[in-house]
Amino acid sequence: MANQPLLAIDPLGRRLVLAYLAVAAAVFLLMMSVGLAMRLGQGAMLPLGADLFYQLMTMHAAALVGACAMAGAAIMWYFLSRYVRLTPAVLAVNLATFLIGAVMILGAVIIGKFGAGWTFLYPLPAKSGGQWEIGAAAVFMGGLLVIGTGFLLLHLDCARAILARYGSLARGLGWPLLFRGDDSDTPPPAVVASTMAAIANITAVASGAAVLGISIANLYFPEVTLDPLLAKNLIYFFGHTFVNVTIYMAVIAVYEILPLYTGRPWKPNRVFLAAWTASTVFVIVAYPHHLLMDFAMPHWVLMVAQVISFTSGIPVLIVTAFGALTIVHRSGIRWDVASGLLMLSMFGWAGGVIPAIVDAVIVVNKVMHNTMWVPGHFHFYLLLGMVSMAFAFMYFLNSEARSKDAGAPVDGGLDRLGLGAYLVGGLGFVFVFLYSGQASVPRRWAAHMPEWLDYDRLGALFAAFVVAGAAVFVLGFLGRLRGLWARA
Amino acid sequence: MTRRPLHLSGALFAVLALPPVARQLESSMAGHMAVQVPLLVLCGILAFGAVPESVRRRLAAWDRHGLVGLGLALSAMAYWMLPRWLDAALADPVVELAKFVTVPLLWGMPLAWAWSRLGLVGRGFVAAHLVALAWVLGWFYANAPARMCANYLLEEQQTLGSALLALGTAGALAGLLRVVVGAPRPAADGQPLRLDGTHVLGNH
Ligand code: HEM
Ligand SMILES: [Cu+2]
Repeated sequence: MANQPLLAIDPLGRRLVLAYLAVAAAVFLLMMSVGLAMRLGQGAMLPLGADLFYQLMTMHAAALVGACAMAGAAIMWYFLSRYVRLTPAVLAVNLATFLIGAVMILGAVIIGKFGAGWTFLYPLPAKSGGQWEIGAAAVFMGGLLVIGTGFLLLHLDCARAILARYGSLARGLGWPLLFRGDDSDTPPPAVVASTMAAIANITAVASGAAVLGISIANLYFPEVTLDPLLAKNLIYFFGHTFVNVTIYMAVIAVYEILPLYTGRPWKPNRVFLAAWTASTVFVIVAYPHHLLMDFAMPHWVLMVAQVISFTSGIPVLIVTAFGALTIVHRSGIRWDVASGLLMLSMFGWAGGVIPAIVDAVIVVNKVMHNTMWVPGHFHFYLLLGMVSMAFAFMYFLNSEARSKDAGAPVDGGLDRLGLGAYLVGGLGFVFVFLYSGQASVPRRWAAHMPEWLDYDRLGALFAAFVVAGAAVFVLGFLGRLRGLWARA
Repeated sequence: MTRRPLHLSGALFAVLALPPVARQLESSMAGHMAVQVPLLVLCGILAFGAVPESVRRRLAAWDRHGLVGLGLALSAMAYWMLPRWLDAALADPVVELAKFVTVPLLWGMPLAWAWSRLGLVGRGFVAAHLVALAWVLGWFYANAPARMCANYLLEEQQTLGSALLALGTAGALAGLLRVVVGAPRPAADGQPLRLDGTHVLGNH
């Protein structure tokens, strides 16, 4: 790889990255507390009632997916802008659209009482049974549309900058080295990952915009019907891809930060590039694993999806985990909260993918889907994988700023305690989900049978630890924000 | 300044305006909306190629990013996409004339202008939304139980819907291919500006 000099980070861009993180951090803490309330509600320790439970569930999922996207975008922008020239104005526009969309979504849920789930599966938004008005559903889906539009702009700007520097997105994925062995201008991992994120999310958002537009139109013209299976395909094409891309953006933190700790650069080789190219295709075509229960789907599609799901996340996961281990192994790495969270995130991502793959096997899926197994696996890689990367990045920004001073300690005992609580609580929380799934407890039930309450209460206990750990991270970051802002 | 685009545009326009051609295309809803109107837009786009550099420079002075042009083109598009105007064009020669004049002039030319000013982000943004719009409209026409136009049958409306869905899909695939393969040479303006030094954290 030609050693390229790094670009200086634009001061406005740096502040915007901080703003993204502040928004994401606040949403993480708030909505994790909402999750705790839901778990308590299922455990009959908090009288939520079904209506409120579903409103909270809708808000929890939509807001956290959004916050993950914001945190992932912050990480991507921060590091990608060292290699290509991004446009801070676009970053600002995406922040504005995100905030507008978030207000719409929160308003639709809190004021409009919308509770059809963040997946807005047709025709549920239009058939509320009197719980919410059509307008609330329209505002909720409109909010998703506004947020998607902002991300479309952001990814387009990344694509533009990568095109300007590398000439094509194929080069951004490192194809010259991958296919021709030409290592003269191989992009760094941050560029490869951002290229993948752009391709996947531009495609996903375009189809998401279509299905959201159709669903909103359908609210007002109910006589124009929509094939529910087609709607589900489009929604999961969008939702699955959008959620996965949050991880593919955030993992850039691992590629960029771990090498700084050990002084060993992360050089993309052919295996690494092959994995990213494979995942670029697979992440887009793996979504039918959400439709394994839909017997009307063509059978071959489901078979293909099953095989692809095995391979979808795996290539990138393996090269990343393996790369991280080689970088860390016997490096005498200094363990602090940032590096600890990064290693936890690798484990969380890898650990969460295993039950996900188990669930993508058709025979297993027939039994496990719609049980707590599913929230078990996705909380595993989102909570312990994705969100850990985001928190690690927040600590990293602080230590990066501090390292210019006289090697001051960057995190204290409280932060380490927080890491412990987050780790223990997170693992316990997801394993209780997985265990209850295995015991056939259904997902998305507001009220639980008496024999399930023990799981729920244990889960709530662990969740409380997660919230406590997250509170340390989030409040600590928000407290340091002014200092970081001033330095930017 | 080459006159070629103008000739092409004029020829295309003349063919489209021939009464038998117009009648033939307008006899079906898909021919009217998915063939004739897009070709009229193309006339405007081609004609824009003949606009001299000096005029373009003057235009650029007050519409640097092409956003005014884009707004104009999208407004004209929204107007001519309303089924009732297609109906009216069949019944009323004045509306028909207005269509033949305004679609190239207020939709095609401003679109070409805007496209020439927009960067990749703007183009991608517009393209993605047009694809999504084609899908939404395609779905709508393919599934609406009632006729939107008095002059066309329900079946024709459904054909148009399928045509729009296919158009949207083709556009999406073309766009995806275009960005992945991209331009063959790395452009120079992406070169790093100044050195920042590598900063290394940690214990060594
Ligand atoms: C302390 C942390 C958290 C707690 C206590 C929590 C709790 C819950 C609970 C109880 C459910 C409903 C499960 C069911 O019965 O189906 C749920 C669903 C969900 N959560 Fe979390 N969660 C936490 C963190 C997160 C994070 C970090 C994310 C995302 C980044 C997330 C995303 C989701 C999603 C997408 C759903 C699915 C909603 C649906 O089924 O439509 N959660 N969570
Ligand atoms: Cu999925």
